[in-house]
Amino acid sequence: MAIAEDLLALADRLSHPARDEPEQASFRRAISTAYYALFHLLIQEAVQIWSSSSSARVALERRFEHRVMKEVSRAVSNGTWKGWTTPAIPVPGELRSVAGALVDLQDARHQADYDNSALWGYSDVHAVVADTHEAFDNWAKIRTHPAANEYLLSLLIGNKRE
Amino acid sequence: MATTYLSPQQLKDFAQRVEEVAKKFPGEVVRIRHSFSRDWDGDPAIYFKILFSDEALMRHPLTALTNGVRNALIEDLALYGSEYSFYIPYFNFRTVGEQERLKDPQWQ
Repeated sequence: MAIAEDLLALADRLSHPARDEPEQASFRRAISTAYYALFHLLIQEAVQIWSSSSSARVALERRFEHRVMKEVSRAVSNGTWKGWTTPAIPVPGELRSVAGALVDLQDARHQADYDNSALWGYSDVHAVVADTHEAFDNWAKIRTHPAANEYLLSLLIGNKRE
Repeated sequence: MATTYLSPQQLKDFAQRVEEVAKKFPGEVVRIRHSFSRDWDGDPAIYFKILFSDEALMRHPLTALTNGVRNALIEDLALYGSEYSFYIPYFNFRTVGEQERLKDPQWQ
């Protein structure tokens, strides 16, 4: 989990730029780094479950796609997600919150990385980083829940087809 | 440009309900603007721009404010359980002081 936590710590630092550091560039990197902190937290959790060697883990990590992760997380956060077990496993509120954070962070990250016309304020950036911290805390609470396990599977292979 | 499949009446009702949420936070929320648009991936989205008073951040932790307003919008507008659930809601936050410094035309 080290890289994910390191990235979150880095996002914290970037969200408090020193007076002589470029504020907007620091804020943009804070948002992007916060997204990747949560991204790596989730994919590392996933590959730990299914892979037994470091090379297998790397190969598996490369299979995760941001777009698929967004679609799955969107379904989880708005209550339309269907897991793989019948009857369906109830989705804990903490998992919905983690999934919602991933959707929010991904869009913020796109804007921070690619939309140079966007300006970022302290409140926005600190809200993003705080949401990422909350997502980490929520994930720690439910990471062993069966729904969390199925969520990780969905992040890799997409939403269940009807 | 607005991108929505909602009727003019639905849009009017939506705007009214957004106003009502803002009024739930007197002293904290100066205004809430919203726009129907597409997100970075092209998915239908609603962007909310929530402007806080400077005093609000002195009285409350930032996360208490952001979570409070965000949850009120999600619940009161039924963003996940109505015709609006077609749109992904995104929330942005700023204080009056920050906006005065940034002079961001997108927040005017």
